[in-house]
Amino acid sequence: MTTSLTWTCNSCVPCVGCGIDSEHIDRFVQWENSKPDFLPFVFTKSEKSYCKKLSIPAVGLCAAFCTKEALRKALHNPYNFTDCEFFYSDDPKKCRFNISEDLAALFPDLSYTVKILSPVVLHKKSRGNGNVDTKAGWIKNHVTAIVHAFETL
Amino acid sequence: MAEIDQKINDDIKGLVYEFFADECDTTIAKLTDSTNIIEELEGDSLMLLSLLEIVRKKYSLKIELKTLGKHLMKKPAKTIGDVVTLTLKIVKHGDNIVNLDM
Repeated sequence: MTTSLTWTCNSCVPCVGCGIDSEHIDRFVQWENSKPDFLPFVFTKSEKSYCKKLSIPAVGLCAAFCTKEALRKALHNPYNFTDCEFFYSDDPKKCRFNISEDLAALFPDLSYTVKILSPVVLHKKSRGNGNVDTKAGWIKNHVTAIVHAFETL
Repeated sequence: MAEIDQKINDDIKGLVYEFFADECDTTIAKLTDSTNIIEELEGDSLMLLSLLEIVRKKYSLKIELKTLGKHLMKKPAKTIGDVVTLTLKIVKHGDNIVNLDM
């Protein structure tokens, strides 16, 4: 069995970059109960405290990390990950994406969209099951972020 | 700039080997300086950041990810040996790593 995903990007302005990143949620469980100073060069304090309140904090951390990585790929440039914040919600309309003034100033003519392919079938009881990396099961315990960078006219 | 003596050098090399052995479900004995992290160990950027977090805490480092990213664009860390060298440079030079003539 194979898993196929299709997404579209309709825009009247030029898309100058697209980045995608996908990570296994379980890799972020190790930081769910860490002291607040973990990975200070990756997550902001706001992101960490926000994720802490989610029913599964690792999902929020994973989504934020994937978004930052996807943005790096879309920009074709390294930047400080704390200059980009992502606040995950199960409701896609409630996800929030911020970039700092410093980062915006580096790329003044760009705007961004973020799409999260979230593990809608993930339940707490399925966490820790390392035997899901089949093609069909892979998506279940992963978060995938797609970032498009558009040229603003 | 921090001084790197032989003990720190050995400690960092041991830390890197132990980290990848643990993360990649292998043994230190199976790793060499020429082991390719992506092709042989299926490593990725998150793994490198996790290692950086361990090093940051152990040596009280402050380094910006942008700085590290710029350095990696000039000098990619593909093997265990590359990561050991990179880690030593991070500990020794911190954010000045980007100004080094590689």
